[in-house]
Amino acid sequence: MQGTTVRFDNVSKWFGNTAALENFSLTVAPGEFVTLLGASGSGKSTALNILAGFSDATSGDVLIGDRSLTGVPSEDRNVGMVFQNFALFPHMSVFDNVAFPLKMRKTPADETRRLVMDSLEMVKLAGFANRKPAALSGGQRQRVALARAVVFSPPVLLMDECLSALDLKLREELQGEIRRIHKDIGATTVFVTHDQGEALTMSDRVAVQNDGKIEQIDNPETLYDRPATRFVAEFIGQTNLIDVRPTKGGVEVAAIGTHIPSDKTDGAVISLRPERIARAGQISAGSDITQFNARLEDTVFLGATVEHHFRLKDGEALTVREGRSGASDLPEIGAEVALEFRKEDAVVLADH
Amino acid sequence: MRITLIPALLLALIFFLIPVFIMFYQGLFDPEFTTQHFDRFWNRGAYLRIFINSVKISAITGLLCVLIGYPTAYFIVRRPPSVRPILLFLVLVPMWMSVLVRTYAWMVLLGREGLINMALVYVGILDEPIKMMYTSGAVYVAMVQILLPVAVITCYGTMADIDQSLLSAARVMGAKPFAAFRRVFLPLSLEGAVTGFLIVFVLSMGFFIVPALVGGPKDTMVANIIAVQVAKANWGFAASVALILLVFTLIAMTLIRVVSKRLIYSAREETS
Ligand SMILES: Nc1ncnc2c1ncn2[C@@H]1O[C@H](COP(=O)(O)OP(=O)(O)O)[C@@H](O)[C@H]1O
Ligand SMILES: [Mg+2]
Repeated sequence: MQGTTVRFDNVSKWFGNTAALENFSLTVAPGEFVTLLGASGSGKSTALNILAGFSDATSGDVLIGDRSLTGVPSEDRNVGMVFQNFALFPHMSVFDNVAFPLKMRKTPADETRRLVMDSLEMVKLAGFANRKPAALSGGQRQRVALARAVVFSPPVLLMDECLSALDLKLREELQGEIRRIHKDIGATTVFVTHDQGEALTMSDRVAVQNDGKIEQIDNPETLYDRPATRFVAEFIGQTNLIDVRPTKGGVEVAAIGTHIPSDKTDGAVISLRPERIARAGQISAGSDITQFNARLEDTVFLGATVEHHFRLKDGEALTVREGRSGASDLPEIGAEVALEFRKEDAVVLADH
Repeated sequence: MRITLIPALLLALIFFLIPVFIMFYQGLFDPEFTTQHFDRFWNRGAYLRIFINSVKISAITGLLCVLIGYPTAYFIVRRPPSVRPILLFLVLVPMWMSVLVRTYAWMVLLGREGLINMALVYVGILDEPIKMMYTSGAVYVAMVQILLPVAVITCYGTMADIDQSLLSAARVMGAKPFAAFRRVFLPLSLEGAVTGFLIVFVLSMGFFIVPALVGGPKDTMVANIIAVQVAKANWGFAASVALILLVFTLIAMTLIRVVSKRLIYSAREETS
């Protein structure tokens, strides 16, 4: 099966005088796995519902391939969808649930049987065909929902927070399974989650959504290493945000006493990941390194890593994370410690 | 058992169980054990005819209430959550008026000089007033109007329990709106319709004000027999008719429940 391009073209959706989506534009390449990531209320479901045809955009257009979806009812869009609450039909068996999309497409009975059993095989539930959904566990229900969404080989697959109802272990297991199935069937996939870890591990690209707008869309590494806005830097992973002042050719970091080169003229903060800061002398020479002193206030063990909480000379807090191998010679609480980081690891951001 | 339940149980005992027991007693002992009251009911064709007529009126009222109430409930449950309570409130408002008042209102509307006749003649649809009062039609109109909220609320209850995303799911999987309704919504809400029918049916079997005030002689119902016999102080006979009504209603309810369970089950199997 081949995926198809999905395109949001300047879509806005207003509920009364609040915008759930504002000038939302996004192109998902054929077969690509794109995640909409954002806090609750940021408009992720609104985007998906417009794509699935459950609600209409106030303005703008959504396209699958070259075809505009304006005025096309859900049943004619040929998209598969997995719902957060599973949305399995409680009065039908697992088999009949999965067969439903085929039945609606008037697929012959023998082919239906074959496709349904293939789908159930794929989610490892072939032995459960005759059960009712009520007799399944949460993870099994989600697998049935997944089988049902892909049984008719839709070119586009949508998933709205479909793992958030499950516990952590099951969630991780299903994340892997969804990735595998996505590779197998090659459907263009739009996945929605509020869990940044899930977004980073699963996606080809992640669109970080805030208040109905896309803040940044990039692959997971870029999103983490080069956040485009202060919001993204704070939302993805953990970071130190240090106030800076723009100067010629970069920004002045008063708290550390250094200059970071940058093209940005409106730089107001730098984002510095805790694991990018090290004790002085640990980063190999060759790159542009800056060193400074800070007072250690606290050390927290996190298993594989330890987290040091420092205070800079102007009173700002700074978090540093290091592997346990260096933890044998831990500095004392209250000590002044020399630290360093590569200037290229500091991301200069505007204040909005 | 919690001690707080005791007053409620006492109340039920005094005002429900004891009267029912007295009714049994009066129907069967007069003063010795006797079946004469029951014989009288079975042997006079008129009583049996009235009874069968009551069943017919109640069944048709139940059907009409469900036929109107089910789509109404469906309409309400498909509105946005903020609108639903208002619509439900509007459905319930008539229930705050006594049945007697509402029946009199129908007399005002349906009479030969009533509002409807006058309006139709005035507009020119009718040349002269037609007879609407004291007909079976008037009985149905009034009974359905009085009992409709019960059917709407019962249907709404089961419908509100249905996860609305099931319908979206059906649509996105390729079902046209009617197919989504028939294969998902209907099988899941049928139980509410059956319950609505049963409640309306049972309540109808006990009606006597409506047939007495707006119905004709043919529209007499069981409860009217009981009322007349009580008025004549024929306690034994009145009690035995009440007993027959009670037992019949219980049997009918059980039967319809069993049959409808089968029906709902097979409807669900068939849709899948
Ligand atoms: N049917 C609706 N009526 C009014 N406001 C809505 C409706 N659906 C969503 N919203 C609003 O739109 C915004 C985005 O909602 P949603 O897309 O569900 O967010 P998310 O899925 O990211 O949690 C929220 O502020 C929400 O309150
Ligand atoms: Mg949502």
